[in-house]
Amino acid sequence: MDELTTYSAGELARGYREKKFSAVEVTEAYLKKIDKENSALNIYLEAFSDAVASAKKADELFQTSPESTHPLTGVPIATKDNILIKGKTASAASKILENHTATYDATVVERLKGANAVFLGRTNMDEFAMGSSTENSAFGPTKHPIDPTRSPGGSSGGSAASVAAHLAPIALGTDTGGSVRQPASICGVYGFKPTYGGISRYGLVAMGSSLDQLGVLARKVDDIETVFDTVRGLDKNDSTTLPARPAPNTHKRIGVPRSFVKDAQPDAVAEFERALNTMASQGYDIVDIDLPTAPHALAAYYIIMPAEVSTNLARYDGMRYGLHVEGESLLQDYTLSRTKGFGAETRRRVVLGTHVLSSGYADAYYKRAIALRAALVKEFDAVFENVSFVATPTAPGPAFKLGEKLDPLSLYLEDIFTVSANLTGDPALSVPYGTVEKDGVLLPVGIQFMSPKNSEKALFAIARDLMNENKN
Amino acid sequence: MAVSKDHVKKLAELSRIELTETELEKMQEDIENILAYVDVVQKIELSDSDNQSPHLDVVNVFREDEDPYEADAFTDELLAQAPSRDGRFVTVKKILG
Repeated sequence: MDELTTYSAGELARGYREKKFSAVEVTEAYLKKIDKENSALNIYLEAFSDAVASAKKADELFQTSPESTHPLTGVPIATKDNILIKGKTASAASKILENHTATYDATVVERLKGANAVFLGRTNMDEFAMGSSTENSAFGPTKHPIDPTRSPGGSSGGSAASVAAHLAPIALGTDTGGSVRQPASICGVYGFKPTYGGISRYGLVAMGSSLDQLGVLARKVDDIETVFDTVRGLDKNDSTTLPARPAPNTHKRIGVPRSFVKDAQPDAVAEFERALNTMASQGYDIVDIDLPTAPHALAAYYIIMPAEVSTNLARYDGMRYGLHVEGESLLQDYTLSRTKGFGAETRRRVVLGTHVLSSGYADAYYKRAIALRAALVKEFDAVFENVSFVATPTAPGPAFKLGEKLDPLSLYLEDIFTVSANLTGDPALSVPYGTVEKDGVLLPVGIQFMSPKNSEKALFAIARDLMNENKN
Repeated sequence: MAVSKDHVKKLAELSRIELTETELEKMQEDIENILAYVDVVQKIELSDSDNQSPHLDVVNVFREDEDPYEADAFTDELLAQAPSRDGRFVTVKKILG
């Protein structure tokens, strides 16, 4: 039975068509495995009992009209708890939304339902996607499937761990500063963030709206591409979505900002160099590039993101939905609801955002950060005139111990290599290439490739070259 | 950058968040540390970047105002999420005295 949970989405799609197994059998195998293993790892906040009914519908489709099936028909998918599925709880791992039921489907969910995919359950995350360890969840941290004393990364830690632990073949996450790519790197799976506007954000719980993107996690490049092709494109409910544009021409030249890369841990850098050597032997040209602004991107990010957080989270007032705590006045109702509902990191970012936007400080912080973001965009655009890819380690190191990074800043530094792509809007993919040893345990590390806007297909191609995966 | 405790208290009030004395001290320390880190944005030399937008290729997107859905089509479902309601209304405490 456990064998069914080892297949990729592509292998499941073939198996269904060759009648080797059914979607119901696969879904039941996953639910059984989740039931057995989840309490130790806290990967899922909830497994959906109606998943079997969706799987049954998919099986019927294979019987009655196989021509109307899709590559994702009957394929189970885990979703991060900040993605709305009508009728299901969507809590963003926050007390303030603990009892919130989604009143509509996110566009990505609607499109996946159209493909008759099977929603398996909602995965744990840092509250409102704020964090890099999943320790900020109001419902307890998720544990790393390889070493439960370690963090799976975050904020999409539950989604990354679900794919790594074979508790889902694919998972959806969200990526505001690296929240899909960093946990993917740490858990040893692929983590993909498209071009800003590549996938609709309608129906995602907003964090930093100029940075947020839906992302995909899987064990095969093909699966990432299949999901991307299914959910991408224009959406009238999200005016930032982009029409499909012709992909820019790409060549085999990879730029490496070495003075920046050296900030990663030495063993992670060694694995990164090993990946570059493999690329060189595949005919790729590795060139040094200079990205002088990139090391400061994280500073700009920690101004722009909290500014957007403080405005986005103003909607939680305890009046229309979410937690309500009764006080003696309207103001007290607001304050008590938010105080009881928000965790420590959420409060920190709301207060910080209020500071950087306040009169007398907005010029010194917010406006300077926006100017730095503009300089970063220019810098990447100039680099992409000469190279098709920029490569860095995805994260500074492998999985760290739960409770190891209690100081907010040390955790923020986990995103040092990933935030640039959110600030520029360029697509990026973390590829599970290497491993490093810590305390006698082999832990995964990823290499990140960034590329110009709308060149997602080039990212999939370079990942296949590095990992020797054939396109099906 | 030093941030006074009173300033942090004011920020929390503006954010509609209540902090205990211990939480306030921790918040002050955290905010100071984070601001010390992000302070680099003020020091870095940026050439002709004043008044620049990071995404010059971005344009406003408009759509026709068409296909309105029926009145009340979603009202019940949305109001079902409200902590307190009275028919078609969300009930809140008195705003004007």
